[in-house]
Amino acid sequence: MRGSAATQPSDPSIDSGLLSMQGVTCRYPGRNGEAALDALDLLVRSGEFVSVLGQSGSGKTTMLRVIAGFERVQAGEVQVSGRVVSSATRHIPPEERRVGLVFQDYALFPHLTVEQNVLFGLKWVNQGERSAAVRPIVEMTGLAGLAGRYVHELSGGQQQRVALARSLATRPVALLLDEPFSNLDRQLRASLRREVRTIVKASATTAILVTHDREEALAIADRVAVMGRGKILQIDTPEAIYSMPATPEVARMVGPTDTLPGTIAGNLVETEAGRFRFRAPAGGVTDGQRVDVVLRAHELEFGPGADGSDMRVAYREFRGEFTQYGIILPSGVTVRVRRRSLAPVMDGTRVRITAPFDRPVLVYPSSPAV
Amino acid sequence: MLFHRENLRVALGQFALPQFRLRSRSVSRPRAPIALTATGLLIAIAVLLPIVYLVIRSVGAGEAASEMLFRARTGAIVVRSLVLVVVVTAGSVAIAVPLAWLTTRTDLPGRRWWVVAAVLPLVVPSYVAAMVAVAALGPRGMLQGALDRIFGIERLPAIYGLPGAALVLVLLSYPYVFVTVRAALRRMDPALDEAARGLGYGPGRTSLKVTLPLLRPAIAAGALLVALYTLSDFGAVSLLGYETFTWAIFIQYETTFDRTAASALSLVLIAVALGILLLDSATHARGRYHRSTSGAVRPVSNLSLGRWRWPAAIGVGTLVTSAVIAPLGVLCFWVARGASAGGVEFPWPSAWNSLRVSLLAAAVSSALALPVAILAVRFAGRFAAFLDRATHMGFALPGVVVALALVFFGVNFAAPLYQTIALLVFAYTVLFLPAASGAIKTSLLQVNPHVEEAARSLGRSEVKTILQVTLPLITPGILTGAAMVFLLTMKELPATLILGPLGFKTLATEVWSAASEAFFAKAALPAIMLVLAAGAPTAFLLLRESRRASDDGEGRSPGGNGA
Repeated sequence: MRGSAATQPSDPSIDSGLLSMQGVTCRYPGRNGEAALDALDLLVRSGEFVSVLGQSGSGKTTMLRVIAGFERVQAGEVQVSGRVVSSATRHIPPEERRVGLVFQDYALFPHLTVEQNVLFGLKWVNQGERSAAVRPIVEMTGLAGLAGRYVHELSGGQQQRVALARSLATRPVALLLDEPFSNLDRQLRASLRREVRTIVKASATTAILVTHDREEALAIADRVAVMGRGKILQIDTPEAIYSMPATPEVARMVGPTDTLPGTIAGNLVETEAGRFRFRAPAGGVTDGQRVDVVLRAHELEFGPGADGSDMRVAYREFRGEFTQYGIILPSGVTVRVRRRSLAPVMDGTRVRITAPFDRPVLVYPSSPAV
Repeated sequence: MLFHRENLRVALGQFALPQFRLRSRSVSRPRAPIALTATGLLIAIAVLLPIVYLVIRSVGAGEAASEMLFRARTGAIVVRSLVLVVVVTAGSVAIAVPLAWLTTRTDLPGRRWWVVAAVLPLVVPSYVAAMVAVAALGPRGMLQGALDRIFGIERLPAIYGLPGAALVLVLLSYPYVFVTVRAALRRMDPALDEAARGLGYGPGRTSLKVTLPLLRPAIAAGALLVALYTLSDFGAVSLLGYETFTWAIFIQYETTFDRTAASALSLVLIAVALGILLLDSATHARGRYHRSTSGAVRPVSNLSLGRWRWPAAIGVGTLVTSAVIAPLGVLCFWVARGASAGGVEFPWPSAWNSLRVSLLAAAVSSALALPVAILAVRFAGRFAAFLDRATHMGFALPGVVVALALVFFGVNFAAPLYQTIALLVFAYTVLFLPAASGAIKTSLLQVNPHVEEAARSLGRSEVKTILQVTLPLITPGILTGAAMVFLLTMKELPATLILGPLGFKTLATEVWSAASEAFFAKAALPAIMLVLAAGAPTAFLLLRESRRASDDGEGRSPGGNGA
């Protein structure tokens, strides 16, 4: 998806991580012991761009606010550059953390101009040098002509850039981005995403971006952390996360999936939708074992079924470059299949589901019946 | 007056500003800086102490007090006060609800103009209105004089007592109901009306069966303000000779120096005020009346009045004439008459005194309101809620009671302060702190807390964030609050009469003492000055609010994008 995917942390020193969270627990006071962050571990290396993917309520924003110092932790430890900034007994105030936070709603100062906003964090630079100090960042973020404007005179994309420039101007140890593109329209989002990555990388800043948009999470980051129920479920490169999701839950979060029960039969897995080759990211499958089979719509195909076939096209949705079909199985479960938009296949047509090129499907040991 | 300003701005159309409360997202509630909490605590103690002292003292007086309470005269005072409250509240609702409906939902000619005109009685002090009523409608008054010349009528129905007091207070206090009901009408989800129309209701039946029931909470809120205003009014009842609590307390205090009796009566008055408050909270506990959809409010299509258009305009015009234009005319007449009869001395010292104490009160109230508002909005919790309620005492308590409490307190514990401007300004602060803190809270609610957190992230301490980010953003709110306190202080009468240093005169006391001796020519000039002085800040507020309301469409919201 992205050209420079192989970016590994360039600094090979004994780096214990620029930012680390160990066993961090953070509870809502009201809800009975439910933790927003539940013994969460995370390690981010210097210069890395990590995205955190999670649904609303997964605790991802809380995690950023903990790192930034706006929430206190009940257990565990947060370290920034080797210094403990949060623990059950210690809480360094936000202003002493040198962690930049870019808010979802940008939170620009409405009473200040663009330039004053960007300069706000530079209190240690003397008056004469202030403009010079931020000029590179202002130019890098493309704000050069807007210095004298007020925030309400800017477009959403421009406000986003000001927010980014304002945080970067202080040369933060780490930059935290909380759903930074969610207030922008789709087209702007993709281009600004590339731009933000370029700017962050050019300034050699470590960044954590939180989002619920899987495309965004996969496209922008060196590593993706998938989050659920206050924990990091898996953290790896976008490619690794996508091809080997550690759990069905992670698989669901990085792409649309359907799940069917299946049984391992030698090097194949047998399901209601057919027999497929498989890969087992979580390991632990043996012959004859019952498993959960995770199917991805674009990794499947279908062909004409024999007359006795009991799989039929239930619905068809034309989506432009592809057409999504719902194939109803005898048990009543529907599996989604994406095909190139050629001649449409009519509803009710009997079909047979296949995996092109014998592509393996994902299998996981069955979760015990609840 | 509790929610007066918020409702005012909503009534004028500025309703769609984003409001940021503590996010439910926030896991741990931020702890308030100790300095802020300590300041808040001191303010609460200062505000509560005199009242608590008054209560303790009256209870401590024991027999004497209870004897006073069970006298037949006390019973009569209670009945008179309640009758006045009921009549004035009912009258205000009867005038204000149709007026609000006509100016929001119909094609009444000149609607915008009527809205501003209909709010203006708020700036007329009750003693000025009462004086005008006596001068115009009293025995040997202007109306009787004119009728005598034309028809030979020598007697008019008595203006003194209940009829006069009720008339004057209705014309002064209907704007409270008008403003809250109009605000509710503008805020109301038009889809509800449209749904009723879609279900086959005609426009008239929709108004009656859907709109009116939905207005109940707003009517109740406005009626509460009117009831409390009436209960605490001193100016009108004293000039029109209708003996309610406030007037009786003042007489007791002035003539007999019987402080036990005065404080016992005050206690009953407080109880009645609390009773009204409780009654109010009991009535709107049930049901939901909020808009069900979010987003900007679509304007409701206006109901065409048809041939009732001009009769309605004449009705509204008559009301505005009798509440605003005629009183001003009467005042001007008396000023002119005084000038031609040898000149009335311009009351410079009183004007200066009014200006001085009002500015002081505005400054002190704003300064004290700031920590209260910040605590209430940013650090909501039990302490903040307690503090907020404590500082709202002044709105439920009549000026007479607060002044009396401070007299007792001053004499016994703060003798050097007794009969000083300082104690007087403190009384104003106790009375008007909620106006200042309400305005500041409103503007603070529109500041996105993320903006403050951004400042923290960029290296500012909590205190510096407040100074460099929060304060500049809420300056308009602080100024509005100060203007309101200024206005209220200018008009204030009983506390000034009771607590002012010997020989201390303000425009308010000048008007009152001249009017109570029927020296209308002498009272008219300071009265006009008062109306203008109070009118100027109001005009400032109204103009600014309506200008903001028209800006609203541009989405100029403080705090960047309201997410």
